[in-house]
Amino acid sequence: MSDVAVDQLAVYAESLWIGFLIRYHRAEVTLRETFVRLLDRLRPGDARNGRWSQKFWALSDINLAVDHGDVVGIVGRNGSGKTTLLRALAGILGPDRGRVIVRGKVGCLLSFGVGFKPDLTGRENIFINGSILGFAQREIQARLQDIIEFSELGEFIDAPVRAYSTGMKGRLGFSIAVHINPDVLLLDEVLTVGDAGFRAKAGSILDRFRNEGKTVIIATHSMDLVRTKCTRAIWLDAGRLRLQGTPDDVTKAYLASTKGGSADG
Amino acid sequence: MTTINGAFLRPGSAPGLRRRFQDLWSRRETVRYLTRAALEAGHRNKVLGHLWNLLDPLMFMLVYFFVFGVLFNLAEGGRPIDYMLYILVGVLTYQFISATISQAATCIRGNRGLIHEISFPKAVFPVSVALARLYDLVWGLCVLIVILLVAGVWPTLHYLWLPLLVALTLLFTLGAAFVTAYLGAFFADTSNVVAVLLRLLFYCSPIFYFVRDHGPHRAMFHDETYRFLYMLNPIACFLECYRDALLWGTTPEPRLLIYAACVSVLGCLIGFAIFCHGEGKFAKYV
Repeated sequence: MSDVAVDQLAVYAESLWIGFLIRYHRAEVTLRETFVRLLDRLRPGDARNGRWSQKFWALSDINLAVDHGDVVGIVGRNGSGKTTLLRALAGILGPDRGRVIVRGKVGCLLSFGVGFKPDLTGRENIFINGSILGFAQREIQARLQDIIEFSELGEFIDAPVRAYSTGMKGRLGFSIAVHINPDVLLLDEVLTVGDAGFRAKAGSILDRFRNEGKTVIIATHSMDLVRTKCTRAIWLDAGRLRLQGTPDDVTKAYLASTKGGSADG
Repeated sequence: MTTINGAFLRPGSAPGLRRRFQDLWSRRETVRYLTRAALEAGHRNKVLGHLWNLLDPLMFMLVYFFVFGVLFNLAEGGRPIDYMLYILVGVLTYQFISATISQAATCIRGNRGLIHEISFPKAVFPVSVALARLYDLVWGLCVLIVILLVAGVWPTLHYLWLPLLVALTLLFTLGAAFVTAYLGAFFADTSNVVAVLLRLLFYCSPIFYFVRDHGPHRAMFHDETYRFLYMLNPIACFLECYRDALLWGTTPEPRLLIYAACVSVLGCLIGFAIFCHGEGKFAKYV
């Protein structure tokens, strides 16, 4: 793709690869184990050499171009790389190969507010998260009322977050992410939090973003969401981009494949 | 938030140190919130609240006074209060350094939720850990000055060295905290290893014994080569400088001060560079 065309895009990924090391022996790397490993390496021909870990490509050769105003749904089975792709687009994971370009401010909510500090109140967490997202105190102050109202937390906003349910944390996180007025919004399964009323409200936010020419990328297992809210869809399968196209085509193909094999969603 | 205006994110083209520092500086408000959160989380559930943090070094001082001053008889000859103050200077400084370093070892893993959720300069975590502990150190030094007054040691103009000494201690500790935070992100047992090293550092620093003859107190060793090697430990330099300025009312020994300043500034820069080198990989490992 020519660089002029790339300049017009909101999100662009070119031959993106992201790999992880899968470790066999222990869940966590320790200094002690690393030391033992170094000693092992000194002995040539040791049987354990090279079997400590294996490279696993969570994303292989992903090419993606998203225009301003697109709402893109990512579908795929568990472990197909949906979250990894969102993290790569958010800049949380650096690409091992290829490149990622995102233009504008990114708002992301990749998990149910797990970044909240449990001992602090919801209000204090709004300020911490807002400032991490790059907002000055007065900017957060100006949006505070909207954030609290949208999250429907009411007086719980002054209770410590450890007392919140998963749904409440998700609602607060979603509310922060949309109110910082991002140009690109990345969402991971978050619209499944909250009750039907909140979901409807969140859905209308997506429509508003689309009308304002902003870009939304959602990873989801809800085919209804993809069909009703998205303008495009992509299907990830074992870290590869299997299909991209209209929401109807992609969801149909995806559902057909899961019915054939051992479906999980 | 990631704002990449027309810039390409290529593997290997990591931003330079100056850019990293600017990124960190632009998140100073985040650092302030995290520091306040760390302070409040440490105090909120305690009856004595902030007082507790002031009592902490005082109680350690009494313990060390009992063990080393009374049982080992190191306080012999001088006034007990002078030896207590000698210990208190050491305890305050060492507590600041060791608390910062040991908390830095877990600060990246402890915030894995945020790290997996948003892209931002991770250096805010070790920095806010150090600043929260700096708050304790500054209050501790205030208490120390009050005790000095009570003990009849009048303030001198040499107290003016304190801000510089505290700033240098902070820089040195930050450098060490960056390195421990970096290791802590990749190796789960870092805090265990660090705890052992900090214990070693405690005994290798002049906290309860003397490295220079002072009044009735004799130094631990009189061999000049030993002393030279011993004083390579920046903490030993800091402690002697603090004591010169606070207890003995003299100018800190220039050699020690200059050496401590160089180690602190260099250490902080090198630590920051090491931390930034691994920063991009934290999200994969924690």
